[in-house]
Amino acid sequence: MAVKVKKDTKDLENLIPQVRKAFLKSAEKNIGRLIVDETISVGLSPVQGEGKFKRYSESYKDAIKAGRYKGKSISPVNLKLSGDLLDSFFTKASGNKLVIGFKNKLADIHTRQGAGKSKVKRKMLPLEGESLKTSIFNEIIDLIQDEVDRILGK
Amino acid sequence: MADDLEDLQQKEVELDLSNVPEDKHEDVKGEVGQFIVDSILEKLAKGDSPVSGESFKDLSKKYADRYKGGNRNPNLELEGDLLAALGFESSQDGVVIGIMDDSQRPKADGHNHLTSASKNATAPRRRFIPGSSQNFKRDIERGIQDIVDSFAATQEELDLAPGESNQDVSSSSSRGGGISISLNDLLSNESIGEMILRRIRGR
Repeated sequence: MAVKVKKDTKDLENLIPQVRKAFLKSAEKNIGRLIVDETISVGLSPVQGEGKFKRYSESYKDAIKAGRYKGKSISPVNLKLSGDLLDSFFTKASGNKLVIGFKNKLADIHTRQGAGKSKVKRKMLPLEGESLKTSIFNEIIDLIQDEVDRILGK
Repeated sequence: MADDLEDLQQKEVELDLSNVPEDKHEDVKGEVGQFIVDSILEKLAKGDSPVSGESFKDLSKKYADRYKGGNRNPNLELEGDLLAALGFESSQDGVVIGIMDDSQRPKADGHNHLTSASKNATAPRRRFIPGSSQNFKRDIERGIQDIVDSFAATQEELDLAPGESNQDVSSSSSRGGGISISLNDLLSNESIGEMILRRIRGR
């Protein structure tokens, strides 16, 4: 429902929690679409500067080609085997912070520890000192702005 | 120069950096280069061309069934060698984007049809590097300009546009073994309040 706004602090104080609540209601779905569906699932890292995920090792590619992993293809490198890892995506609010993550422990292996014998890292989220791709971050800002506009009736 | 770049499966994107402080020029070029590479990869993942006026024909059913498990999305990826060779380097006037590995240039030309050698190519043209008289699609060109503008902006202008590109991220591992990040201050009263005020003020 659109709200008429007067430029006083009281109105602003009322509007802020409304925007926050409305954004969070669909944050998991919307941010999941940005990070999981449109980025990781097509073989790209959501981390600024990482580009495409590193290719699978030759031995893993051979195993895929031999049909050892049913339904798995050698490209794109989308970190999907059973789907459990990507399905573990979540978002939540923690005070003023928006927390985004993957509950599955493989996320830490791919991102921080490195997977397989060669310990190859495929970053699913930024580590300390890194950031999300600017396009993803700006789209998250746009999602909040959309809620502002909706509530203001703009 | 243009023909040479087409032979190399590359394109130079010239940047007007006249309003950007000189000590920031290499930073702008680096950010623009990475942005274009990421944008090309995003478009290709969707089976779309990043080049203005170009589009991709779906893979043939026969080819898709044989090599791609029936998926007809033309993402130019079979084993990943071609797109792994996509990169950028800084040039005098901007950035050069394209294939950086000699071994992948013939394959790239088979898709781009940029040289005379590809005139008789049997594979359909799926151009992912613009020719000398072409540009990237409008959203990519706009993104490039936004990056240049952000480096040209004064601190006062940056203060009026809070949030965008100013990420404050902290990363952590969770007890169950997963991983998460916190986008700090994104949902703070100040951040949301400023967005509301900007709209009320018509910005």
